[in-house]
Amino acid sequence: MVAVAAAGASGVSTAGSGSAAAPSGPDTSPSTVGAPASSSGAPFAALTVTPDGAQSYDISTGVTTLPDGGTVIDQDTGVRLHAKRLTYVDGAYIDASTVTVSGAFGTLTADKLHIDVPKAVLTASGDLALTRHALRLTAVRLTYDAGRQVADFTGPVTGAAPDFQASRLLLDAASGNVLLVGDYRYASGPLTLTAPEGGGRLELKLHQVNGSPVYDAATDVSSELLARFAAELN
Amino acid sequence: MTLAVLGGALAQAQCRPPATATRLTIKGFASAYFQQFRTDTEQNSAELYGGVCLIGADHAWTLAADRVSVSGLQGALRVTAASPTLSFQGWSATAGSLDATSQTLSLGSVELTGHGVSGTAETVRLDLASGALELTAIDLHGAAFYLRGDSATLSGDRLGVTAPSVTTCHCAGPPLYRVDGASAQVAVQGQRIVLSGGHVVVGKLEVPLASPVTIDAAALKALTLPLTIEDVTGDAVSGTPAAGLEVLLTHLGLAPGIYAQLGVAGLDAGHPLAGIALLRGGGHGTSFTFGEAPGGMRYEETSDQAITPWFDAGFDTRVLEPGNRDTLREGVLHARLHTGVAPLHGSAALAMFAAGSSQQPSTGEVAGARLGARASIAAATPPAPWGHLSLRLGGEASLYPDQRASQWGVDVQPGYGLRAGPLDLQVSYLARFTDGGSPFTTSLDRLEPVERPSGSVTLAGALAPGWRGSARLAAQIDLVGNSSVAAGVNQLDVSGSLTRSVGAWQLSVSGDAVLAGIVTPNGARDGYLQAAVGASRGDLALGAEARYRYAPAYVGLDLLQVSAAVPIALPGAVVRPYLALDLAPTVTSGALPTISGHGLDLTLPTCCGALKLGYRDDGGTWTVSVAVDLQTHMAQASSGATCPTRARATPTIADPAAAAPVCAAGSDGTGIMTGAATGPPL
Repeated sequence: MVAVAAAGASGVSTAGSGSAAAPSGPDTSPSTVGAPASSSGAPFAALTVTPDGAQSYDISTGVTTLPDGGTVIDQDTGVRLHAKRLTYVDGAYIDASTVTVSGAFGTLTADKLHIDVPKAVLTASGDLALTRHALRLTAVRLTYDAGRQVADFTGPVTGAAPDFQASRLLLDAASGNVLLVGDYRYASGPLTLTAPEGGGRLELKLHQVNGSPVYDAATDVSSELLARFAAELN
Repeated sequence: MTLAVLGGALAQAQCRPPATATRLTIKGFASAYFQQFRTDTEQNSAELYGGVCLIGADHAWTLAADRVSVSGLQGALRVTAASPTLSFQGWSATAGSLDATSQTLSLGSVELTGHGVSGTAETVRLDLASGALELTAIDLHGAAFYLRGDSATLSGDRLGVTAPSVTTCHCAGPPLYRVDGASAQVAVQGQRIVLSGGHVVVGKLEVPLASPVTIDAAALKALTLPLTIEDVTGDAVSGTPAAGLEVLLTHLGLAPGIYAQLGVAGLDAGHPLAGIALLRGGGHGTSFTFGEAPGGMRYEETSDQAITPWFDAGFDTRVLEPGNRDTLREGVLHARLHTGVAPLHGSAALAMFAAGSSQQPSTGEVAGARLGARASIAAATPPAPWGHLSLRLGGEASLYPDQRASQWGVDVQPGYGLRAGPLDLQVSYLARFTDGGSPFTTSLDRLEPVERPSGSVTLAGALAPGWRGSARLAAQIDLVGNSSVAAGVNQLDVSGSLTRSVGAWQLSVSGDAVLAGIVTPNGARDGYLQAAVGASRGDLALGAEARYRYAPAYVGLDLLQVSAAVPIALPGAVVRPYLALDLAPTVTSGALPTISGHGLDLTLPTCCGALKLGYRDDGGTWTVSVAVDLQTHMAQASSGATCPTRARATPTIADPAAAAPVCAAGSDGTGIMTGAATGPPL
């Protein structure tokens, strides 16, 4: 197991059993590489990497490669990432392919994933799908600001539940509330809502009905949600 | 389909969504445009607000409202709204509420406008599948009428109303009259009502009407007064006795399909005074008459039913007892086969009858059975530039077993006709061959020989701008005489007229020559020459007329008449006296002129229209008239008012509190009706 810790803004300490500049043999034992620099709860501040097979470490570049994939767990947020192939540089980034990420925001699958560790920003693309509570969607690209817990899906974004299509979707991963932006279509029973010419915004607000999470739609978007997504909308 | 397209175009025009509006499709129901939308999953509903515009899925209707709720998203769809406005087939219905399903739109507390009509309905229900519009408790107000009904169905501008109540009155108090009925068909655009099972209600008095009765501006302007005054001179052929001056109430409705005729005959000197009391009725191919009339008691009943499109059958019973003279009693069963014959541009018919008849002519009683058949065929050439030829052939045979007698007759009537521009030429020759073998008289069935050429030529049309003229020559010659006509020229009429418009004046010149009495002095008609000139401007009419008579008893000038009808405006009324003076006695014998005609027309503006009453006696020919002129009514009502050309208030007669000024535009924009709706409901 390897711990990839972000120390402060850029300091990264790495420890592990990888060999320098040469592929090592299989080492699937979980290991922690270094200790978290802090327990502040900042995203990607304390990652534990568990390879599924071989891993190599390029001592000249500091790049660790897990060609057989592995699992990355954010100890603070509980985010769990599993990929068929992983490449990372301690404290800098993680690249993964054929990846499944699960956490409070739901379960995400994608062909490609990149985590900018210092910025705490996750981007994913390729056969992108998200499942969480009452929300199931597919999209072309995702940018997730882990610090603000805001996911920005671009598309076309297609929802299976609720039934919608949108050129862009913003997700408040903390509350689960959603904002469809631009050209959208939303369907509920016999109703099919279409954005006005030139685009519009539709809020999908998550709440519980009889113990089950459901979304309600509203074109009159709440000021709280607009403030939440102010950075994305500006 | 065309209607749907037109309806769609209209619907779009009534509710045009802004480009910035969000669009919602409600599957199988409508498209909606609005500013804001939100769902409530817990309530299984959605709400649309901010200028909502619904356009029906078939584009046949639109509905506008500030806010619309859609519920039953996972079950039975229900759409509700407050204060919606529905537009449908030229109608606009503003309601207190909307409650709709995917099959129907239901509106409550509705104010309706459209097709020149406005008013209210308690509910309006639109069937989205059929397009039928059903209304309850309607109270409509058009330029020509007020209409109230328990319920109604609307298709386009055709309104079918149950339990209708109609009036043309727009009075400050209760309407002077109203017409209640069982049902009515209303052509809203034409402001025309055909009412069935109706009766007039005037105060506490209710008088049944003929069914159906038509109420519109034209009908009211030319009312058929159920009163006639005429000099009944009698007809030897039909057996109608000369009853003299007769006043008759012609239609006193008693029940649907049944009415009475009451009157008095013989009011002038020389005829016996006689009462008239007849009960008449009928419908569906049957009719009956029973009662007392000049000449005696009469009972007649007829029934003629179409069994198939080509076969009719029925029966007649008649009892005519004209003072125990020429009494006729009989019952007849009859059947008739008939068909069109397209290759001959004509028709063919075969009729059979069996009768038992009893007649008491002056020669003694004849009674017995009659059995007979009649056949006829008519053919013609197609119309051509040279005219058309026609031929009618008929034959009949009757048996009288009790008298061991029979009768036959054959009719042949070739003809020629030409219509070309102002020319109309008709020529025919009727030949009837018969043995005249009936033991009964000609008033029943005895046939007599006829050989009768006849013809007429007419020229009529515009001669020049402002000029119109006509000329006619008609002649009929009987080559053989019989009990009805003498041999000779029995018609030779020449007539012509010329009219000219000069400014507001209408000028006319006419002439008639009835020459048969001159050519055949012993014929049925007196001969005369007559000429007349006239000038009129509005209700002012001036005239002069001269007639030179050729009669066995008198030859000379028998009429030299001058006449005038002059309207005089009085406070609250217009009177138009008419007087005609005959100067012929002065010219021929130095005597004083005589009054040859008189009359009076009275026009009274009322809240039900301008009521026009009148009578005229023109040389013994009596006419009486009554009319309600709605146009005058509306023009007078609108004078001095400040109504805009579009309606600004839509009061109903059911709303006596609606004292706001009333102003409803006519369907053609020509007439408006003003006043204050302070009257009580019908």
